[in-house]
Amino acid sequence: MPSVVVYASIDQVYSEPVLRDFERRTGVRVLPVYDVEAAKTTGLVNRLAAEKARPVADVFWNGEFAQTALLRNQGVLAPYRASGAASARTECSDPSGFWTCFGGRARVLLVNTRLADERVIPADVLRLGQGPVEAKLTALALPLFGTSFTHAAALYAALGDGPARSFYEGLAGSGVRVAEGNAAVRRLVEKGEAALGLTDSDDACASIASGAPVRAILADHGASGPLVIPNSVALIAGAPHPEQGKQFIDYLLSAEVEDRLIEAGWVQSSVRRDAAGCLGPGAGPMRPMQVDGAAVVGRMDRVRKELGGIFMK
Amino acid sequence: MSAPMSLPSGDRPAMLRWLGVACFAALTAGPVLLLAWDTAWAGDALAMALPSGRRLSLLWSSVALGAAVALGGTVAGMVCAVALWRQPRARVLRWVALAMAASPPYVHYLAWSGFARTFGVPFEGWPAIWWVQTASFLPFGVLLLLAAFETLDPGLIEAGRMARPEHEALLRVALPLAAPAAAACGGLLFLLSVTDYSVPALLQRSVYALAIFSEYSAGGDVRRAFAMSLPLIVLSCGAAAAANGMLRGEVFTPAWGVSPWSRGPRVADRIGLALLALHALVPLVSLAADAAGWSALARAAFDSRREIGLTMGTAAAAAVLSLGPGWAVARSMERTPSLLWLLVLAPLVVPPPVAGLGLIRMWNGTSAFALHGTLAMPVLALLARFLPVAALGIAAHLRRIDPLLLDAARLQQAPGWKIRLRIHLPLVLPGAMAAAFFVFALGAGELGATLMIAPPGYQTLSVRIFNYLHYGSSPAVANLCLVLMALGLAAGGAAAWVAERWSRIAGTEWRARA
Repeated sequence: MPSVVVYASIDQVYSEPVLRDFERRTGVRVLPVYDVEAAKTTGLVNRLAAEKARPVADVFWNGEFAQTALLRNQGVLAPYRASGAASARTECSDPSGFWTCFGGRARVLLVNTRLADERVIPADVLRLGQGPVEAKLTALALPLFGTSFTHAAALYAALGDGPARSFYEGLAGSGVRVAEGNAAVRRLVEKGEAALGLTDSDDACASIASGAPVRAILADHGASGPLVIPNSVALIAGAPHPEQGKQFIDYLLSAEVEDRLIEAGWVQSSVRRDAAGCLGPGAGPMRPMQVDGAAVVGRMDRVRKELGGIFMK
Repeated sequence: MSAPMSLPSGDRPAMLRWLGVACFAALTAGPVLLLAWDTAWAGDALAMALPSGRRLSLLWSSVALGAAVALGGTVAGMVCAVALWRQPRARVLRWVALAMAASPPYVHYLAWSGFARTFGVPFEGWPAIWWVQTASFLPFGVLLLLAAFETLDPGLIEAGRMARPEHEALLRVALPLAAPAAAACGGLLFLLSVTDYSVPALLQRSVYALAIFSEYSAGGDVRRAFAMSLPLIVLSCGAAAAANGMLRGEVFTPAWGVSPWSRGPRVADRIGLALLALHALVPLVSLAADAAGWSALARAAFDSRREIGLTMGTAAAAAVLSLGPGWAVARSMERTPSLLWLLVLAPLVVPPPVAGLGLIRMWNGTSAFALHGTLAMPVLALLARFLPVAALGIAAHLRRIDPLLLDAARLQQAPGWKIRLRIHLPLVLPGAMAAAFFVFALGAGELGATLMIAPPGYQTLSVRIFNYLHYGSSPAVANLCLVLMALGLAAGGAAAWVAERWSRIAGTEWRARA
């Protein structure tokens, strides 16, 4: 029986049904390796890099694209341009085809409505920690990995190194609560330990769906809209099953799969249709911030070093 | 009572023992040393070994938490162990304690957070972390301390009871004699606490172990992560080595098999037994309340059959394979300075993802030893992490072997292999069973290293549970945790039964002949 090995840095609750559906439709056995929330994507990224001499994986499906770009720089990926690719986002896909972006989650402010009135909270991320919600009741994930890191790199690219560094230094000094991940931020806000938190839209949607006393606001950046962080998918160089890997990538980039991910609550931004319904009516307009993907990737090392000095010392 | 004697080595193939030591070193230190070989040490990496600022603050928080867990676990363990010692009829609770050792910390988190939620009790922050870790590691403390109490000379206790009330015999004779074992227990619980980051992560608190993981996740730099873990290695192993050093000067005997206490329950015993019972009942009831009924539980077990198979199979394989190298190291360390235990115990504190990467480096070649991607890797990961536990457990048991039995064995005119098979092996086996079970219990819940090397298409129960836990509790998670607890109960019960039968054969039978 043909098989394909997929490394998925996507929450297992969302990715597993997609993998099983591909298996059912094509008869290709899917052998997945999942990451855990605590590993924040880098678990699998480091594993892929360590396996470079003798790859085990065929495909890497990532919930963001910055770490995928790092793998390209390390020679772990092989170029492949999917056929069809109805859901592909060209603005952040690699021009040479080493990875393809699709779908996306937005950065949002999650508000505990018992502690704060979401109507008076500015949607501007750059005003985080400056009121009306006190800094100590504001939470964000450590911006050194995952989508929080990608967000930081995007801010560096958009604002410039100096202003972005000042923003994060101000946040760290203001006493905001720094959590270990976006899911932790969500839990803090749900439980009322924080009134306001910066997290991802899938966490916000899950929180709203659970009936927690929360509202979501799409986090804009001054005049720019919310940052949308797309998924990325890539073929592994030297993959043991390259044809099955390409078949899986084609399937993943189809409109049908994107619709499923939207319904499941993993994707809230699509190039094809409105996907942010789960955030609720008051979330604000989904007009994504324009980001230069290459500029984001190019700043990653500097951002990691500077933010490590701000938040880890 | 003579000082502890070692098993005779004159006719023992020393080469076999040194081979075992070499296997131990290769399996535990090999992966990390290979990683270190690949990367040159740089000044900024070494600087990570000297924590300052936030990292220093995290280190002190972790040490304080570890000390609190060690203290709480040792005191609670003492209360429970005394109760089990004085109430032989409560034997079934020993098996329960053994079984609960196989439940990883995050299972206790889910159970106790659900229990607190039911009664509207706040369950957050450092107090909650302390509670969950203490509950999770309590079985190890109870079993260690019970073993210590059972080796106390009943004549001393009875002499104390003749002159003073019973409670004074306990406080002024038994407890001081068991103090070194309590110190060892505290050292072990401290080590388990400071290396656990699963519970602090779930309760949104940072600890040093999590900071190491975050540092590694952020930069992927093995050198920096390893350097950052050095203070933890030194502190944890120092605590363990100090405790081990206290034990070295003590006189040990096998379990006497008789209780020096009068019959009848006491208030303190009732408290200890109730604590032990609640320790098992609360998680069971709390998880059962969250679960969606028996059919959902059966369904969860069926759907997770591959995860269950992988978890149990790899943990059992690691438990069995750990005995040879563990015994070899335990024997080799009998007359060595306590500080050398630092080298033996260091693998316990290496960040699990670093251990995982080292395993890939070691086993992902193109030779016949290219095991990466196969089911051998999870077993190798558990051995890399928990072989020191096997060595520690066997070393502790070797001290309890009756030297008179060894003397009697030397007088036999039988061939060496026969003496080893029919005398030495039965004497060592109960301790080996206990050590193997500890490796099994810790291995069943291992997360960090397994994640890095699990073969495609396979996933352990711990990875699945931990993934789902980050979305909050749910019937699905509760069901999986119940499955894990049930498997732990079965494994613990089996281990206890086998160990008890062998103890009876090795101890009682030879006492009749001696």
